[in-house]
Amino acid sequence: MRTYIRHILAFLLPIVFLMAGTEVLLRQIPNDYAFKAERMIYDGREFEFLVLGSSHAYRGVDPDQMGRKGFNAANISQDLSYDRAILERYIGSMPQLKDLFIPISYGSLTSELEQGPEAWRAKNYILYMDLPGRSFQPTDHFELMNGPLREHVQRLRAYLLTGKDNRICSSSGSSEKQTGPEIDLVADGLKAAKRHTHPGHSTARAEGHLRAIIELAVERGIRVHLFIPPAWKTYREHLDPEQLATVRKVCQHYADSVPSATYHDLLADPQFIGSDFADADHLSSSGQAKLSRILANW
Amino acid sequence: MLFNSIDFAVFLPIVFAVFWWVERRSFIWGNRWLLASSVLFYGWWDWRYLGLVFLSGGLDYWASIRIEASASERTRKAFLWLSMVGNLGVLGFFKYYDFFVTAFTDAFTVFGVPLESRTLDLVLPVGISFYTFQSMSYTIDVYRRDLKASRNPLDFGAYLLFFPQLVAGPIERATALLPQFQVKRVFDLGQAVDGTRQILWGLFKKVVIADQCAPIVNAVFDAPGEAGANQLLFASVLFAFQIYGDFSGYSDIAIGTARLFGFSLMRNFAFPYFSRDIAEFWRRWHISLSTWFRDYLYIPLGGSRGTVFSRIRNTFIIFLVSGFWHGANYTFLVWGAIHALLFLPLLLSGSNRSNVGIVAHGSLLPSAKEVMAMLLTFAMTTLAWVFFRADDLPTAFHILGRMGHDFLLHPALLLHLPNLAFAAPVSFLIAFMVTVEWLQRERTHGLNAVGRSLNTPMRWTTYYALALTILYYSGEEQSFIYFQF
Repeated sequence: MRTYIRHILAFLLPIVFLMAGTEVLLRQIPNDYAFKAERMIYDGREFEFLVLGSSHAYRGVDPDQMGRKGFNAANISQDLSYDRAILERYIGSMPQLKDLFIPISYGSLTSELEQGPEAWRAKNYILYMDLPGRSFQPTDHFELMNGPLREHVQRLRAYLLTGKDNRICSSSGSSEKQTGPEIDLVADGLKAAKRHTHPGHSTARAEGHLRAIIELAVERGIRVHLFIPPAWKTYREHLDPEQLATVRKVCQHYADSVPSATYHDLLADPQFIGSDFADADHLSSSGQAKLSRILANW
Repeated sequence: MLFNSIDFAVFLPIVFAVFWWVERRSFIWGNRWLLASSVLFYGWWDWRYLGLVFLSGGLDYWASIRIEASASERTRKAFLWLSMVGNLGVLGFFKYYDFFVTAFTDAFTVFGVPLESRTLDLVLPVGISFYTFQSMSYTIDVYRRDLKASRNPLDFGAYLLFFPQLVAGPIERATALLPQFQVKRVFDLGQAVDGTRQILWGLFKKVVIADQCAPIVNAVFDAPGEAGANQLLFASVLFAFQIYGDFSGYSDIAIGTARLFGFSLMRNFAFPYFSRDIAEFWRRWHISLSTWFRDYLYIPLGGSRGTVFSRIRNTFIIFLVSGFWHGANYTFLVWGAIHALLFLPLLLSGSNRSNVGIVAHGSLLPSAKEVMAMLLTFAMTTLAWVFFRADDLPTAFHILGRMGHDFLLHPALLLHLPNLAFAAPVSFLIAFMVTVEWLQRERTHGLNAVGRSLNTPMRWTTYYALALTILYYSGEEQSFIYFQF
């Protein structure tokens, strides 16, 4: 028995060291999350506004086009619990903050990052943004436990050999330039709407986080701007009316009850035309510029 | 809990260490620990379905005691029937209810009496087909007086729920496995080391072969209308290797894991793609199920004795039931029927046992005749797999029709290889597996001879190469195909 255990440990030890080394190296690759955390800590004192939210804000709002110093802290599939965690963790380093822009998309109140196909992103908040994660989920604490190893190896090889890193956001935190729609907007609209529709899903958890965000903002004298981001008609026409009505009702509630909160429904805003969309629910560069200008005027 | 998951990588060493620690005290404690671990293993997936395992096992435990205690043949038979009806009732309800309701309403619709189909869309409990068959075999063996009924529910529970083989076999016979729960197990270094090798090879087949074939197979089979004939052929061949890697990989991990605990499980695969005819294929593929049907269905029906009609009838029954065991879909029935049709000529001509030994035994390479026989058998099984993999019969017929039409009209298409950029890596990996298994075909598993024929540096290099390859391709936990059965 002892011989067996000794052999197994002797066999596994080099593999464990190799994996640990790979893990350490993977964490050295610059990425959006680490970059955003760093910017908020070191440059946060200059920011007058902060954009939170999911890909709709990440791809839809460019702080550089808003005429003031601000930052886009949105990330793909980021839900309201992570918006709240980011705000609570970094608000102390942003003393000049005056405005907070929070997109409340059609799926925002019913989506949870950790329950969806993008759950692997949860580890980024723990590893790179110093946020508390789920109560006990070992996979959230290691790069290597998220996704196929061969992809990690390819990522590492590209970084070590050619210097290609994983940071894809601009210096202001938003996504880089995006072209107009190159996909079938009809099929994409249906697919995206289906993905974001969660009939019967409770909104209590998300509403709790939203309430906490607004309370924290009010406490610090920060204005909160809630908005439903624009989407193309092929997406809009497949939305569940009940779920959409709940989103509108919640936003309206805060606009009515909190003096420093505003609410803007841009879902079907006619200013956004076909070429302003990269796909059925995400803006292209021209759409991003339009939305950023609209936000700047609030 | 999946064998190819991080959860299992944590679970197994803990269960192993505690088992051998408590086993020193008494094998009863070893059984208790194994039972508790097995409950956790199954409950990890969905603890609510544990009730079904206990129901099935509890019924057989009780019925077997009553069978043994009864002197009257009528009473014994009544309890046997009770066990059969109970087990098959649970299996039938969860697995076949929707199928029969749909078939029933469809039949009425055909005759102009449309009925509303009230299906239940039940979730199929993992491993239900495996553990009900294992549990039933116990009752039948007690009824046949091949085995004494267990009077210890812990031993029996540990046997029935033994985690390495609980959810996807091998479907163990109580006569072989239960006695192993009634004696103290002794740690055997050689068994443990070879068991570990078998686990390594099983993981290779699952993670590196099956899981790498899966995306290509799924892409083609999910949209067969968009694929060309050579892509359909390529995907069909890949599926043959996917299902082999998936299921034989699972069996290797299960057998290897059991060996770590001092248990010996039956062999489930014996390099079936090196078979020279369909009869040999069925002696080498999913052996625990084939022999189950042989012992508990085929032989009681009369087997290969009797008139030509009864032999044909028995062959069809066993293959159709085997097909239906895999799933409630007409595709599985057709798959079974194809195998029956391929098997019948061999049975009727008396040549079904002409290839009993190992192909090219003692030689490095097979003869030309053996190569042709193996290729032909592989081609037949691959075409039958199309029905097994396709979502429905029209899809399967479309795939076969498209291949038949295009290849008959344009035989040169057969030489058009699919895009090498995506086909090359998986083809190389399959070629590697086939080569290794060919060299090991006289052994029990792909790495069996490594410990004997290679020196220490070479052996460890082999282990590291395999382990790193598995790790390289791991990361996307794919469920085992046979979990759905």
